[in-house]
Amino acid sequence: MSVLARLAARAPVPVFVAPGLGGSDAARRLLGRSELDVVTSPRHAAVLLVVGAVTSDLLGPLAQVHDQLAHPRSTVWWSGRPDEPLWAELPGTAALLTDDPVPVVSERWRALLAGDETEPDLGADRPANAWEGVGPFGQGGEGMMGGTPYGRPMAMTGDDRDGLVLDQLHMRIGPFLPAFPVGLALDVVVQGELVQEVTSIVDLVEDRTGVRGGRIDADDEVFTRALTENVPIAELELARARHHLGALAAALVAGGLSSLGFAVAHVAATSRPDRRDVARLTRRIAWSGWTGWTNAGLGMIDEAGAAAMGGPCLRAAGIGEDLRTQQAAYRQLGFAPVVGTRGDVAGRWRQRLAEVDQSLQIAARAEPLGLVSEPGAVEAPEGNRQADGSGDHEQVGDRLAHVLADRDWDDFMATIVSLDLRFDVERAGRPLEAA
Amino acid sequence: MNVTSAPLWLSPLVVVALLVVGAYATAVLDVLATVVLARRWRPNPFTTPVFRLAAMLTRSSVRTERPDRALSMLAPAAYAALIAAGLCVVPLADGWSVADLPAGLVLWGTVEALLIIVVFIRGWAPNSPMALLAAYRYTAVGLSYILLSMFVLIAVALPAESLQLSTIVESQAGLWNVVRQPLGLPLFAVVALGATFWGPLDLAESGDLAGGTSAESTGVSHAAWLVARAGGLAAFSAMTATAFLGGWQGPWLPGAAWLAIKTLAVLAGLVAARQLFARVPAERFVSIAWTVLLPLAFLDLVIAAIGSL
Repeated sequence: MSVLARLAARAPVPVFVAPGLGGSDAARRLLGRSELDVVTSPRHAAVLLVVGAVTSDLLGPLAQVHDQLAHPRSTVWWSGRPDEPLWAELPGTAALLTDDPVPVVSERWRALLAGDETEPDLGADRPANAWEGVGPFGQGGEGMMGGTPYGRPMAMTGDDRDGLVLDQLHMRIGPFLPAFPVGLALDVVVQGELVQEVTSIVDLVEDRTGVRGGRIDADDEVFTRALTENVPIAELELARARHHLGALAAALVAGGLSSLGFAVAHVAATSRPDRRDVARLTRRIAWSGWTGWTNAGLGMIDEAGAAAMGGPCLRAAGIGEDLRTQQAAYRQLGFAPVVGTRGDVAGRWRQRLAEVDQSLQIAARAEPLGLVSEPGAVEAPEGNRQADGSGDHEQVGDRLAHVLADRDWDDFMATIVSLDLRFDVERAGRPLEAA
Repeated sequence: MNVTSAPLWLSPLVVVALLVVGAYATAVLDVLATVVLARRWRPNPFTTPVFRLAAMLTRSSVRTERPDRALSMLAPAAYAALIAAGLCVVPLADGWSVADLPAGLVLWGTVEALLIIVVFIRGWAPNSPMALLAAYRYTAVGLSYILLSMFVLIAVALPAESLQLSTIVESQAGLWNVVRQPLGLPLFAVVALGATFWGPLDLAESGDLAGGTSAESTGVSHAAWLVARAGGLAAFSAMTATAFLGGWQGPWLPGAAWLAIKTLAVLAGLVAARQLFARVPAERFVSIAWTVLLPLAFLDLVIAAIGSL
């Protein structure tokens, strides 16, 4: 190994995390690992870490992300590797089902620096459409106005909100944009940094017939079990608290508060988060402006939108609906939903922090009493889930385009992240794991 | 003695050394801030930046489709060159600066304005949507903090009755500008954060745009850009120390040592801002800049003018 490689081997491993089905919570907890440098662009990564199971629809975008990693590169599957020849023949790819992927990732990094073979591109390096232009950048030629000359969308003009006529760019974002919901891709129209319109919402984890790999997140499995059997309330509430903390950690890192995000991720990774730690972090988060002036007014959604989102989004907007109020054990504990006053980004994060604190209190009180939940419907972290597979998630798609349209990029991303959309949870007939 | 009277080969070496040391100090402080504030993440702050730089240098360069290659190469070099030009006019000790220009303050203001263009170039060059969006967003707020800078720096020049930075430092012999113009330093800190797209004003390299202007950058180019940016933060800290904290002036220690201490103190504050404050949305910052910060800058100018009578 050269001197440069030896120095590089001692750096945190630059890794791009691609969460799949049942992997979002585990992916978020990796943020707090000092051995890893979880990067926001695949260009900056040496290792692509796929967390959770992968659907057929996700394989295409995953291949595109893979090809964006600079050489030398390697892929690590934290669950199971697809058996398609395209992926199976990659050299140096490690498949594992262990609890901690970090040692494997570190080993792959050192192997790459020592001269191990890099992974070739999965896609062909050629333009999507045939050359039609005259000039060196595809310009000119017949029938070139609009459309996709030379395989690239051409920015045509359109009206903007200030009465001007400016270029509009049509593009797809996701599913592996940092902090984006698992499996979600959006076709958007962007004018400058304003997202004018969401033209389509693509759920790349809806079709689970070709799922490869297995579940990583044990926490979400608790809520699935609660649909059909009695589950200790303490277990449910601790899982809820960990989920919300993980979502917050990812949002903080994406929002530029990396040390706070690391600290929250570390607390989220503990089996029983400490209320004092959560209180301390809540104060720091408030002081940073995250749950105050920085995000106040962003991502405001109306009552109809909040009702479609369900869960903490609904309660943050002032509507105190919570399935837990219908369960005797929760009533015995004196449970009352935490209800916010503002349906904006700041309000939703304040709501989640309050619900984390409430969950930890409930868990502490319920455990010595041995209280259990009733099967049927469950108030999951994202909202209600029914035993027949229905729930709050079904209405999200109808409202999401309306909620996200006409927002600056900051507002747009902060809104999506604050909604904590869960397309990847287990539903009846839509398993998370390979058969 | 003016350093420009020294051999010509010395001046670039001094500036490059300042840039490199400044960039290293920024990186060390950044890791330290994360270690202290996260309380759980404990890499060595002195070696981690070196290891990270080595890791970046081991990555190959990537070429996007139809990039502007000239601009791709120009951006990090131009950023570093502009920062170096700005450092040239900072008095390093009594009578020592690389280029003690009579209008050094104007040169610094010019550097700030040109940095906006360089960052836009950086986002434009790869022909990639995320990088371009970041460039748009960064440029959209650029005028807001450049105007702030203009008024704050004029206020600093008033008591000295000069645009020459050595004279501005000497004018603080009795009282530092941070005392007689208390609004100036915090406003200039906002300018520093904006020009180096750091912390709450990191609208060019943020995670919500997958790395922004650096989304498609890797290898030597990426490393060079980050080093230039870190050096920029150190340079702005040095300018803050010069304009508001008396520069090299201080008892017992050599002037250069005092400048270094003051620069490090300012740098620590700016670096910590990244870990302490959430990123401000672009539109929100523009509103705050024009409705709150700019009036405060006017007030700062009035205070300076009255104090100079």
